Amino acid sequence: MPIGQTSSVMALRDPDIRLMLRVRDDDDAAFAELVERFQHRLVAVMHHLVGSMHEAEDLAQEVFLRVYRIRKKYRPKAKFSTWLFTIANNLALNALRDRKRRPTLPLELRESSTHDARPAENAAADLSETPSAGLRHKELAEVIRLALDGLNERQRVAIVLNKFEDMNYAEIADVMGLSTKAVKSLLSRARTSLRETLRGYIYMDGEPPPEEGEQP
Amino acid sequence: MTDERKPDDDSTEPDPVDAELIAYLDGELEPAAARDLEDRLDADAMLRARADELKRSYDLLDFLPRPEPSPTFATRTMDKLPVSGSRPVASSSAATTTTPAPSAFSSLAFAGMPAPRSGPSWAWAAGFLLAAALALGAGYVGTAGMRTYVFPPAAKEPSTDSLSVTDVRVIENLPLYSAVDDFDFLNQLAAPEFFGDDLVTPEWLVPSQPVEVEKPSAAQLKDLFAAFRELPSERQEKIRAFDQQIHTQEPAKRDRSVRLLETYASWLQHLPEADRKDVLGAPSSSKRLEEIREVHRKQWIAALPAAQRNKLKDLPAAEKADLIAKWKADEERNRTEWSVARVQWEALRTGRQPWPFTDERMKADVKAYVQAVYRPDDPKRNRLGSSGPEGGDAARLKEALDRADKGEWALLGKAVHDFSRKYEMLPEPGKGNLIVDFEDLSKWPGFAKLIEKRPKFNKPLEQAAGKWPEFALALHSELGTKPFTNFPNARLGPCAPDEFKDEVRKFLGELKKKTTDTEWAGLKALENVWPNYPREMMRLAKVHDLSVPGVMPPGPPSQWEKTYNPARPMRPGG
Repeated sequence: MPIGQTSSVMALRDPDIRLMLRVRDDDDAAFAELVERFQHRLVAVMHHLVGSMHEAEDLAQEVFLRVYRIRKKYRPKAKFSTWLFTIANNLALNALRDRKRRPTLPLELRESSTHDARPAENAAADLSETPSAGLRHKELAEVIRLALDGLNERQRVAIVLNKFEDMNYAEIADVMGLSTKAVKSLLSRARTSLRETLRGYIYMDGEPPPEEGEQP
Repeated sequence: MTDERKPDDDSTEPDPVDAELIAYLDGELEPAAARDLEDRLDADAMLRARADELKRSYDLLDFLPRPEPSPTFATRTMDKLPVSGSRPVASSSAATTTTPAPSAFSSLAFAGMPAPRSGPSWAWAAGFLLAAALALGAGYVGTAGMRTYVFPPAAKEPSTDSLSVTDVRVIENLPLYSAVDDFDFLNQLAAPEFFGDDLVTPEWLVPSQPVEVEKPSAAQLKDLFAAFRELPSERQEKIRAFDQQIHTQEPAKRDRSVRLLETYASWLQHLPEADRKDVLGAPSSSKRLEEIREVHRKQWIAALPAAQRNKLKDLPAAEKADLIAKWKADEERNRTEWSVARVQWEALRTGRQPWPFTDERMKADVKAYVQAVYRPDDPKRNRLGSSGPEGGDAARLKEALDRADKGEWALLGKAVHDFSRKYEMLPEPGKGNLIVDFEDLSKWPGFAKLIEKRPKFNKPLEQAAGKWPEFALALHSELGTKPFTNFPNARLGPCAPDEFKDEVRKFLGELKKKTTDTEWAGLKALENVWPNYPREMMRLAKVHDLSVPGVMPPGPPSQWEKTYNPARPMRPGG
């Protein structure tokens, strides 16, 4: 398959770009491969953002279909994953904003019907209590889920990309269309907020918090 | 979620101290600022506590489940595409067959590479390895000798437009592939005497921020392409086949191959010109291995302190060899001590004992395992040797157990790991006789009388008496010969599921769930054959990262390997 001069040099770098260039050239097998290759990451990221598996899969699917629809316009510029997550970011933010406009189920009800519905205020109050050491992982995951849901949408996106996609500030800036400095502030506020919410849970492994004056 | 619940708002300025700490934790501070902050962290316990809280609260996010897409996700997505000519079905194998290699260049950044920190600039690859590609392609003297490791000028401006997509990976990795003959050669390089020892790196030694490595420029890639096209087509085909062999391996093996390629390439890069020429100019792969061995030996001697080197110089050849052997043994011991020291240092640094001694149950399990498998307190059945300048392995285990009693577990972990590799263990029978001595053979027809006379058996067998499975294994190799002529197929240990202890039988159930049908059928085929059946069971356990209870150290084998088999500091050629 002949590819253009500029893109060929980029393609040499990033195997995902090579794959996307085949998608661009109407190679459906390449698209199937692209879906296989990125479905796990996309669904996981979407799940962290929206909290519901069903919605996460719908959104991830929408990302792939959008990739397919705009394939002819694809020009390799940055890492392929940056391009892909830019699309994902836009769709996820839209979905989260839509949800805010027409509230449906409270967040904590969405994933599992086995838990009691707790108003957000109560959940926040629960978080501030010192938990018993026997708190199970599942419950802990739930507490963390709530802490993440407590961030605003953009903070949540930045955190998820940083934590689970291992993106540095510059990459997050590319995906979110922000300056690196703005990403730094965003992450900073988000993580301070997570610290406040999760403070009671961070020394649960039995290790005592470092004492004042302790030698390194 | 409502906006009122938001703890803050995007327009407020973050706390500058937190912002700085977070940027530091993320590796986003400038080096000077990071050093400055580290100094302040050293001096200020409050600040350290603050950083620690930020880090730990963020680490908690790892507790969130990472959901997998439903099995039909890919198919459902493909079904939604507008209809077109050839619609492939998304299959889970599609990804595995084409998963790209970790880029040779970016993975250079990880540990396991000799001296990666000095920043192996891409230029090295473009330089001599390219020449190596040509050398292996058309004979060293005819090409590289004249080119003297310089980058070949592109005869004509090649156009990458005609590049086939399947060749792209080959060209990308050409600097790594070019100095390797074929897949067999690469596998031989994995032996510990060559580069195998450099391949295992404990997790905590891997820098959290990968070292930035200069990537090949567009021009260099074009040159690589040109160089590839200059190779004889036969060599091109060989390199393509080699690339295929690397990448059709399962991911863990593929990564190991790539790391091995990098290690070898980096070693070549650091060689003096003359040595490199010897290695690359060898006429066949076996001669090349000999050259590598020879260079290793020279490097080892050259790296000795001057006094030792001088001592060697005046010795006759035989004594020289003896002395080298002794020094190598000393060095091996020092390396073991050093790797324990590193695990211990990590324990000291973090205030936590190394895995698996982070939990009381595991501590007890490991101690029970040691007693059951090595019998250190049973003078008759103790399997560990006590010869050697420091009391051998028996003394080593004793010291490790003493230290464990004082709360230092690293030494025990290392000993357990090393011994599990050195002393083969096989499951004991669930019921019936454990064959560990000549008396245990008295049931064999006609054998009781023979035993009474206590004839002199061969030495390995005599020495193994009392020990499981040493005695049975030594006996096994004697079966069919005098005086065991009549027992060619004697079963010397359990080799069918119902002959094992309960815990091993239960384990077989777990193993069955993890193995493929072919693997399981292979195991079944060995039933009733000792020691083949239990050996295959243990091999499969290792493949699937499981531990056979009471036989292998408790916990996943990969975790033992990762924690206690760190890449050891090797002197060149060591």
